[in-house]
Amino acid sequence: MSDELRHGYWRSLADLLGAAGLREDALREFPAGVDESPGGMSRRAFMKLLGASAALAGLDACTRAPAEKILPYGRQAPELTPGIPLHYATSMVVGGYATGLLVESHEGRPTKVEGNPEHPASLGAAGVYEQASVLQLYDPYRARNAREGRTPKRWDDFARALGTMPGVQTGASGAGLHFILRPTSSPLTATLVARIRERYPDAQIHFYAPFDGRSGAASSRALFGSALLAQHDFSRARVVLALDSDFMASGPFSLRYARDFAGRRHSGISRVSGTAPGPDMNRLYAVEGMWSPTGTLADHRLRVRSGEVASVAAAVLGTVMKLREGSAGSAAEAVDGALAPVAVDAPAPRAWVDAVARDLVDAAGSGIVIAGHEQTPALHALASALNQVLGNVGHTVWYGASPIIEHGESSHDLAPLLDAMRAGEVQTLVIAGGNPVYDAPADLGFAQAMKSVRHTAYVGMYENETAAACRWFAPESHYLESWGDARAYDGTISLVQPLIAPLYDTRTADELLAVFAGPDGAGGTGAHSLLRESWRDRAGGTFEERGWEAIVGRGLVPDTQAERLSPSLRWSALPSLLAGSARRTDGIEIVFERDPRVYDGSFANNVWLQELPDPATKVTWDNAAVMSPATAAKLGVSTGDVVKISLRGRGLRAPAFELPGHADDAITLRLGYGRDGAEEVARGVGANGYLLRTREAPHVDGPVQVERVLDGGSAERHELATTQMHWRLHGREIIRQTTIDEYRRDPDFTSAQSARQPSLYEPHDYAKGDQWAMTIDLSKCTGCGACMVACQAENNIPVVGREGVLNSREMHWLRIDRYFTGREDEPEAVMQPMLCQHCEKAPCEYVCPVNATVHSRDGLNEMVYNRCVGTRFCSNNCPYKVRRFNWFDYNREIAETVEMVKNPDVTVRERGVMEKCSFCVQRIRRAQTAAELEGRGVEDGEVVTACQQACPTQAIVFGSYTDPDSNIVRSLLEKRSYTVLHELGTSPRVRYLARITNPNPALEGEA
Amino acid sequence: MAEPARVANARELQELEPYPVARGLGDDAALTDRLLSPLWTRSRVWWILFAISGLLALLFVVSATYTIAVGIGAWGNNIPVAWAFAITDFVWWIGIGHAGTFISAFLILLGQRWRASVNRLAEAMTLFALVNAGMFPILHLGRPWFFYWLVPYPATMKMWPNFRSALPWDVAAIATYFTVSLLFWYTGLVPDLATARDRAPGRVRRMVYGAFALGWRGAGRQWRQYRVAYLILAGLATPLVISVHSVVSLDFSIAQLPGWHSTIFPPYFVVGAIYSGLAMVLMLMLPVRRVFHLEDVITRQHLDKIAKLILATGLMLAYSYMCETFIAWYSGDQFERYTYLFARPQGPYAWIYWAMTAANILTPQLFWFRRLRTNVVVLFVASVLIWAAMWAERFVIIVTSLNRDFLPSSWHFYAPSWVDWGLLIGSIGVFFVLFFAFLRWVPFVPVSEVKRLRFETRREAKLEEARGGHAPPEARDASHIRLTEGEE
Repeated sequence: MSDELRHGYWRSLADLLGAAGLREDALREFPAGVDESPGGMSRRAFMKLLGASAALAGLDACTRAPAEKILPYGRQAPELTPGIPLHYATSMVVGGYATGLLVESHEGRPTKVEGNPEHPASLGAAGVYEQASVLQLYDPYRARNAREGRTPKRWDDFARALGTMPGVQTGASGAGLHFILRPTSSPLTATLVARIRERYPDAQIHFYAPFDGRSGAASSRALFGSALLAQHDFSRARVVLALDSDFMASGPFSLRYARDFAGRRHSGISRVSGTAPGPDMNRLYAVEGMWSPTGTLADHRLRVRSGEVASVAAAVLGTVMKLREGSAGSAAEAVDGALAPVAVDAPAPRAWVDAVARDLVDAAGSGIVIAGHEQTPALHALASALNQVLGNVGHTVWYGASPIIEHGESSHDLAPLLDAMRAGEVQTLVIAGGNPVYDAPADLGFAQAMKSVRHTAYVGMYENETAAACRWFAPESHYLESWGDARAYDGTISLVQPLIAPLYDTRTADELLAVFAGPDGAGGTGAHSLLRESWRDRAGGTFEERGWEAIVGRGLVPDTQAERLSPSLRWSALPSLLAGSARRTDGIEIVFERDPRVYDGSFANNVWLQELPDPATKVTWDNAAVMSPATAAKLGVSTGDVVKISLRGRGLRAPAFELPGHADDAITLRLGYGRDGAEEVARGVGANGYLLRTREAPHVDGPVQVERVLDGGSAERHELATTQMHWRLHGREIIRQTTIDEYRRDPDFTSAQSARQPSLYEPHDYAKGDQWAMTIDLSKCTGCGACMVACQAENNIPVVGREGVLNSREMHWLRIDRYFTGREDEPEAVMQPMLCQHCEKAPCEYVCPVNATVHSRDGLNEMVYNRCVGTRFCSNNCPYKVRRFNWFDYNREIAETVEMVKNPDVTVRERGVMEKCSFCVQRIRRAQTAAELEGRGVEDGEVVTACQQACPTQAIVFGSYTDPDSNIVRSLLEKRSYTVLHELGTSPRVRYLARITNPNPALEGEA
Repeated sequence: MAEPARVANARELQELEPYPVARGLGDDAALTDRLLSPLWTRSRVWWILFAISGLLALLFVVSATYTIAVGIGAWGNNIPVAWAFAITDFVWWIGIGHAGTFISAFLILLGQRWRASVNRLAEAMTLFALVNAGMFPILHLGRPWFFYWLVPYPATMKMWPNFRSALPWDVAAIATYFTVSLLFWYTGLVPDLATARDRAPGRVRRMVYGAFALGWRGAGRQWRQYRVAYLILAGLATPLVISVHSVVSLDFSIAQLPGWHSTIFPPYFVVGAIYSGLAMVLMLMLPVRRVFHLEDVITRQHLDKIAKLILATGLMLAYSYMCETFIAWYSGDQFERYTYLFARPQGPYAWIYWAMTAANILTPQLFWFRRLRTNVVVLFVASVLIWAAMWAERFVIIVTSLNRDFLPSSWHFYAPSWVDWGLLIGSIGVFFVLFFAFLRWVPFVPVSEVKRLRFETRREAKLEEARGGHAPPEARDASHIRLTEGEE
């Protein structure tokens, strides 16, 4: 069936396992898009595989389930028309929680991920990881075959071998058999786990992930008696206090939260604009050390070290208690005692605490206090207490049972496993997914302990660090190749439906568990039938095919969210939770953060994500020791100097990065870098923060010693590839912002930047037909970067690698400019997505000698790749510098699997031509064609650009302004709209809506 | 008051140059032999220099091939600095190419007959500079194999260039300029090629020179028609001196980029071009004059006059600098002000800006003094300085404007790659390969014109003498003798 494929595989596996030259090869930092392909699968082989797997499915019942029918998203026509993509609902699981997606499929080839509008965790938006996940499917460095030691095997060999391992053989009780799974919310996995436990009563199942949100579960266990997760309704919240919480851009429900928060914010502003009535504008306070996307949107951001956020929260709680004296009742005494140790030395100004407390009290019942996902249980407890005292619970905040299996229980702790491993009690260790050798707490010595286990098996998508430490390895399917299920953060059961047959000989983690859970202990059955079976069981044996089709087609099971609970808070538990949590680090603290691009490291081999600039630092292809300029000055380092960070005998080297607005005396280190597996893109990129991270202090630790690394007398340097070198505005009115009160007083404050510039010439008539325009609301943009990845996926945008970014050659059609304003020691940050402005009087057009960039009748600035000769004059004359040039032939030598991710509706550009944002012209033309066939005009909302579709906060509005009832017209007519560089008279079709903030009048003059 | 000063001036001149040109070189035949002798003599030094130039030219070939094979990514360019070294080199070479035509055509029309000794060399320099200048814009294209799309030709797709852009005009202007310069140069060369044919030792050379001489016999009728044609070509070439660099300047000034968007650019660029071209003429002429012992043909008067021209154009250039900066400030436009008052003088390339401003403004000030105008060493050092500083000027205009424009978010530094340097240094090699070939195979001093100039100056001196008294000093100054048919 796949001789050719297997041949390619053997060769690369031999290289992987044997050749000494591989490491040198791998040190090249070229991403897959630039590097040559490693003998990948040819398109022919892929087609053969596709066809053969379908044909063989019926014959070879041992290895494949019978033809598994996957179902298109219900609203689409079920028939496939060549050239017309279909959308299928599926779900992506990150950190154990599902996000519902719709995936675009071109003739059986998934190319683009969108959010599922019906799914509560998405509402149609898709974040950075979801957008980039489609590239991971085609990653040429994915593992392709199983192996034992260095000997290549088939998956079935692997499954058979598992059956012979100690603790697994027929009749064994499972003694000495241990599993490490990723924390999961999957009902199917739960069933399989239960069946394994039943069959092997002595087997131990552990769950581990570096970011497991255990604190929230631990806090709720103490306060409420069971693992509950706080759920929030930001659409009804008037005042929000985010305690080190990036609720809008990271975490399992961030897409939803961002949408709700921004929706409320927008209606508050548009009430003043007069475009729509709405409730009052919400107000966001953020307390954080490192800039998070949420923090950039805050009306008041308090720059505080992460380790001291709890003190601020305690101070706020104390003040709130005083303000609500009488109504708090018995809580007051408990709190008083509990807060004493925490509230000492509150790093927040008294006025700030008072103002926030009063604001929260005034908004009692319609406020939210939210704690950071990875913060301590103490902070989560403080947030719960605040919500309780403020009466928010039951209104804007409620609790639901955690969908994560055994969340916060001892099975989620690796320490007992390590003890057993060291004691020689672990004979067989089966690891399904994750990468514990790389990311387990440094103090556990996991990699060392692994050596004492005789039988080790790992199933994962890559030959990573953990795979290298295991005797047996088998490749795991990508979620777009898998059947499965999972719950969203709110408990909604979501279906994982494959878009494509596995590209290689891979299985899902559930199929691995079925090997153990199955009736005969070997072989197992396919994930599809496992899933069907478990559903049939749940439906009591009467589950009909139609019902199944409905839920698979929609991607979710409606009404399965966790019950809304408003449990009473056990105040007596508070003191013990808070005790000892007042850790104030003398010296410099270190904060371990999940990376907004590579997550915990599991997406580190994704070139789109590696090249996506960090929202705060704009660094690509690296992580850095991020610190404030004051701290850098104190340490005598500057951006790019390599520093050695030592913590309790462990140390690592990382380049320093000065970030205005970062907390002083603190270093933030994003995790997920410094990889050392066979993932060639990820290897050697950045510094591995896990080397310092311990079980006890996974979020904040310290004090650390920081010293400059000297290289023969001079400081060792590591240039960081940042996409933006300058962050001052130089007094230029590129960003307009004001407060809501000012806006009320002077709603026309941007009028000088919005009227048409006078011209000697008769203006061109742009009133007929569709006239495309876009608005971008700076009040809503968090800078998360979802739009950038969406654009990259939609428009076949190549990556250029670290060297390319160092020389400012990144190809992103859409970038997010980040400026700092205000005082340099306490700056505010503003994000401004910048893309082709589609100027009606485009400076690029008249300078092009060959008419390669011209204007369309419907107002698009079009780029004719075929005609472009590459003088680059257009770029020079573009005041927004949004045009990109193909410096090399970026698409010539990409792996054939990567070719499959290309959107067939968009030209793949050749070397030497300019390119830039097209307003997703392929989507416009498709909609226009459809409308024309039906003899009607294009309706509002029918054309959605990729960036608009991905945006979690709906900051981007797109449409034709000739339709008077359209969203775009409402948005364009907002008084605060303006054009950037208006004085140049370019008449852009992209307008920005000025950033309106809602500062607390009581904090006038404060940060 | 004026009279004694003039006399003193004249006396000094007399001491400097008792006779204008080609004094003491014997009769016409001897002069001809003397001027043609480089064609027949072999020289080891020539071979060494030619080989060095050839190696440098090879560097150009390698760099250009690499660029075409790999893409513009081989250079240091980026976004925002999408134009850098290559366009700098282009403008620099095309500017240099202005001096030849200026000296030949402009000065003919102005009756500056002293040009006769130096025009051939200057014109050759123009041509070779244009060859270089023509290569850069093509190499600079992302897809150089489609360069002809910039030319208006009747394509089957009915696609025309965009006439609103300066670039098709640029192509037209350069192509026209090259054609006219080549014709002008060749036309002037025809009588000398015939002389070379007549004097060439050996059949092969006679045939080659004979072929290029186009049947020139030296008949009176041919001379008459030749003079007319030459004047017409001079008339055609003269406006081109103004127009070509004006059009080149539009490549920048039609953009709205601060630092480019300026109405002073056309005259400013033309002046700068002539300034740099004259510097390079001097730079080439001084060694040639020395090596071939042509002090009597290319006299100190010539040097003096070229230095004066350099001073004049240098002052105009300085005025342009001041004007440009003043207008930027006076406009009140924050972007203009930033470029001229911060980005250039204080930005990352400030040292280049200050070095080039100092070199371009201060160096010609030496030429207020006659002693320095005729000092060969000073002239040579100054011309090299100006030659290099004018390259830096174009670099400053292009790169400092681009690297910090409107949105600070896109500001980025530019640093050249080895290919950028290879093309720049290699293009100098290409120039010298052509130039040394020219010295070896083409009569680089216009033999017939020098003879004519000598004849005319002598005759006029005699006429003056016959009219009574000794000849006024001006008569010996060749530049005062008009060169028009009617007065002969």
